[in-house]
Amino acid sequence: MDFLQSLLMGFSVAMTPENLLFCLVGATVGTAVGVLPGIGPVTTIAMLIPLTFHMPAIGSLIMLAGIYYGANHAGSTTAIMLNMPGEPSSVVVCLDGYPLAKKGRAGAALAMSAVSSFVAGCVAFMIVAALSPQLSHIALAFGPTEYFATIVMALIMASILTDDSLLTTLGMCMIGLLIGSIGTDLTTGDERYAFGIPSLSDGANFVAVAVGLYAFTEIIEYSGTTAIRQKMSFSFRGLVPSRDDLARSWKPIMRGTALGSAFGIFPGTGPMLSSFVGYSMEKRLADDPSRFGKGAIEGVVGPEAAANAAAITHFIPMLTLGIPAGAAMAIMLGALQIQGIAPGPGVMTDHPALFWGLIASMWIGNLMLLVLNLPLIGLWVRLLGMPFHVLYPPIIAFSCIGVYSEQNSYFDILFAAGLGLLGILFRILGANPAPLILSVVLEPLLEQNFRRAMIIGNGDVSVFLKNPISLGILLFTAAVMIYFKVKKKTIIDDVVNLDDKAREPA
Amino acid sequence: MILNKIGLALAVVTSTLSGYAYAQGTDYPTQNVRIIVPFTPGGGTDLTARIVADALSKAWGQSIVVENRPGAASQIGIDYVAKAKPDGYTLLWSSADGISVLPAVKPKMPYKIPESFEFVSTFSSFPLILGVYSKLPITNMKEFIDYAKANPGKMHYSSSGAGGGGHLQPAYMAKELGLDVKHVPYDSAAPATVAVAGGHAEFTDVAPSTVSPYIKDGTIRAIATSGRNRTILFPDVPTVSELGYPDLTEDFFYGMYAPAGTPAEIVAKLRDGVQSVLKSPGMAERLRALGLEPLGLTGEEFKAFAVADLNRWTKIAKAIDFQLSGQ
Repeated sequence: MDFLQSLLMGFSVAMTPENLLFCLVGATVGTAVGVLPGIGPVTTIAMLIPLTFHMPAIGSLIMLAGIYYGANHAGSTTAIMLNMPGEPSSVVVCLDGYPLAKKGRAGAALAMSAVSSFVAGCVAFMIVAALSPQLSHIALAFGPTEYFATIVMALIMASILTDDSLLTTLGMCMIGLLIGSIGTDLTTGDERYAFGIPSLSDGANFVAVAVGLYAFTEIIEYSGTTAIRQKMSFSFRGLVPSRDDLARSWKPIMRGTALGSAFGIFPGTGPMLSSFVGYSMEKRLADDPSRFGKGAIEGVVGPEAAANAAAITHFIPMLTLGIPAGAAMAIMLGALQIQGIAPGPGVMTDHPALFWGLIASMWIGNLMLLVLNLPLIGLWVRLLGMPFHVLYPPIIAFSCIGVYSEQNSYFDILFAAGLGLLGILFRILGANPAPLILSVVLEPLLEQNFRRAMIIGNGDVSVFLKNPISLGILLFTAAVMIYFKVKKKTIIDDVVNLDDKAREPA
Repeated sequence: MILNKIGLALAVVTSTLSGYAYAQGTDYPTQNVRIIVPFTPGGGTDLTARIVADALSKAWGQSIVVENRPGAASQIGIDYVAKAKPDGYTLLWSSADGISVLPAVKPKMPYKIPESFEFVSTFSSFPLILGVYSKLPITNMKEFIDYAKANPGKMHYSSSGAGGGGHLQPAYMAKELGLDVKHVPYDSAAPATVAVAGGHAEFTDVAPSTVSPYIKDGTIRAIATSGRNRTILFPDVPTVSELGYPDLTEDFFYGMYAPAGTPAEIVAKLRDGVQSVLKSPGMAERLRALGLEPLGLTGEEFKAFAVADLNRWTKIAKAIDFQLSGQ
């Protein structure tokens, strides 16, 4: 009853011509800024804030949210097409999306990623509508000990993400944690490993790390090969998803959606964690895990569904606790406050039209994205048909602009370039950088929550075992590790693997 | 509509205040003006900066761009402006944290207060609200003190970050009242507040707008406000002064600064601009709804105010033996 009412109210708000227009504008602008590097969603939303001073609260929020998920969606597009993840949750899309593109199946990957986002959005929307009053209390129960346990679980899950040996993966995690520990110490305010460089004082710039390890590495590797490939193969058959793609995809989409919907209620980290965990889950459940990393469609749709479902359920902790999932969301919360709406536990009851209208508009926005993006796929694929010596220079230029504009820092470009070289080293050693990236992003959370738990627990590590929630999560993590140990999933020597990948014929 | 009103108000103010007439002699600004905010977008400092930048852009017909340069508890952005060319095209919009709190507790600072800046104008002030986890048997200041004394070392306060007002204010209070409490730092005010709402920390000192939803919700109980006056958002919450602790009184402020040596006529034009935005119709109500009190100190008055605040925190830091380590 309540459920249907909420749903109806949401749609009645979101379907007004004015709000539909805001939604369309947001989704379109978001797609544009997400695809064109150099101006990210954060800058765009910040620039548009003054405009929203003179707009109705719900309309402005619908527009800003449209930019946010439009850009997220576009982030997957660049990840698939150019191996360039624009944000943490699209890192895993690179793992199989880009190999698919290299096989000439970019069109199918893009189409299936759009479809899976949409399906996940629909389901997550229903979950939010049905359960949000109950869900909003769960996040409050999570304190430092519970977060620490959750992040440990995520890192362990990520370590079974790749085919690399456990030692390699843990090594990559450690390097990631070290890079992540650059920045200001939360407790003392001291700078660590920043060497007086301003852009490092608040931590390593994620975009620089991602562009360096993925896009730059890719470009350096190809410019080093003597046999310059003229272009990616491109066929119209590759444009449309095959019957086989659909058959392989529907289960991962459903699983990803369920996982993402659950993870999305963790404030701050939900969407990114769910895409990583979603990927490793699909890989472990697959009949033939060796296909992963070489262009398995399940490795695209599973995490995509998880990320998008989480992005939607994430509105619960964001609006009810005021804790944003990232910089873009933080600005949106600020915009809400200017409109006189304080994010907090009262949001759903005090401003039901706003809450449900926004959630409904996200569903509509996802539909718009689907309609908007499907015709563009042909264009994208044609773009990939350009020879690399024409395509790569602009990619380098755009990447540099994108990295620079995050913090207006020249140093970040050099930082990304250095990581590009490191990425080449990793390729030679056959180590997958995905666990490293996840660790970079999670390090501050892991460390801060550990230290908070230590302050509260008087330095006694047993706090993690005394607390029922964190104990449960840690036991679950241990169970997963033991399960895979017993099952002895074959660990494939990735050196051979990567060599194959590099030499794969066009 | 609103834009027209702001524009009109600006025109009226600038033309009627004859004492400021020389400000019109300059053709500044002839290019884009950058206002540096030393925090990430979305917080109180950023939002007030954008309100002012938006209004000034409309009034002057030049783009006034807000640029976020966060880091090191706002030190990086503030230092950037301190070292910028004093031509009026790079300005600072800051909260009190990096102006009068951080320099009091950090041994080596790259800029100097007040020497590094021209003090253009304050915009608004806000108190910190002492909020406790509502499941604790604490409904007033006396019960708060009694409970803390009965549970030494077991009370924790969450803060929006080490070395900021949200850290110093409760640290000072604990010292003044003889309480044994521990600091749990968070990276911004929202998670610090949620930690108290979920019972993961026992109390916190945060801005009224941040804590307001939890007070309405009943998960956090407001015990006192640090302000000189009660805040309009919580008229029932007593000030620390009313409770018998006038020394704990503190209002934090937002304001605009220019690099030292910026030409006087440009500083005057900026000052008039900020003042007219502050006095524009509806602005006071809008600020109060955000838990902010309009505050229009300018020039020497503003400088004296900031220096007095810095001296106060320096004295407090010495008295409670508080120093941020390193650097």
